[in-house]
Amino acid sequence: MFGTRAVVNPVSDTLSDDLHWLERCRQGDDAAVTYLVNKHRNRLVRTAANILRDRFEAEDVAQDAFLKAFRELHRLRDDRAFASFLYRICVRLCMDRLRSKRAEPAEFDGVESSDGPQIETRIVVEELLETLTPELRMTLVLREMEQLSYEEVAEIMHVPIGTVRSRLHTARERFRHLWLDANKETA
Amino acid sequence: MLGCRRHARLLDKSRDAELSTREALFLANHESRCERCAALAEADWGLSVLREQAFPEDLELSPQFTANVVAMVRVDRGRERVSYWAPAMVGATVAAIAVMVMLQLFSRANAPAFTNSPVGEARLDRSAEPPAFPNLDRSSDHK
Repeated sequence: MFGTRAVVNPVSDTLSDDLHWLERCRQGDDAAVTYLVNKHRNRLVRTAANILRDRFEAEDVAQDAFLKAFRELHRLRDDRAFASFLYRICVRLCMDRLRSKRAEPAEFDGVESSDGPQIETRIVVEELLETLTPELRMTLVLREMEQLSYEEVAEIMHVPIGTVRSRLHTARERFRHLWLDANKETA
Repeated sequence: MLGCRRHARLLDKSRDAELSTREALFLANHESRCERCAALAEADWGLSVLREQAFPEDLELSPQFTANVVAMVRVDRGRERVSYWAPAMVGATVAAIAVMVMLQLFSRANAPAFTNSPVGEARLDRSAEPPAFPNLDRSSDHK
């Protein structure tokens, strides 16, 4: 039904000029930091926003991810993997946020909005995502919203591909059930 | 009902790849017989809605985003430099204090003993002539 988005590939989308800028970055060059931030910021914030469903919080997380990535640059063995290294940090930070935020499951108390059905749908989607565990939610978002391949999701989440498959199956099934329940209640 | 598990598996597969005609037919047949699976297949639309709810590629960021990150990185590097040199600074300070203490102890060991009640006595000899002080009054010279 949906193919994997060919253009966006945070894992293999690393360009060779990153190597040059990373080297300068290690020497403490602010211009190199600026270049790398400008290059990766949109994609990183978008990913974080899709996971957290809050673009302002996503910006915070993305900034933290950049800071952590530059701090731990010495751990990066292969400079060509900088993008996936950065995304992995960002996803981990998002996961931490989700875990700390996840207090009680959302309830469907009949969503009413004067801004029309689109806003209503968005609220329902956000509430449904909140009911999923951070791991399932992350897998679902990376695959369905970010349209990453199974391999990319596995690499970013640092889990075997089989785990991605089973998590995605569970997440989809649970989402369908929740979607049905939500529609019954709002109908 | 028989085939529900296969239906769930194929429904999942349909999101990642094109189904064969046979598989698609199975889905349609099963949904016509199983109400629960038909409802789930309908709910698959929810996953498409989820995809539509993704934030746009050109998400507008705060104008200070990059500047903030660069400033944070700069502060972090400063801190790192301090923490890098901190052990050396502490070591140097301890060494300096140790040297000062040693010097103090060494100079005390060689100094004459100091006491508030010295041995011996002092006497004022009143029979002796007072010391002759030089006359500094130059006015007498002019006369």
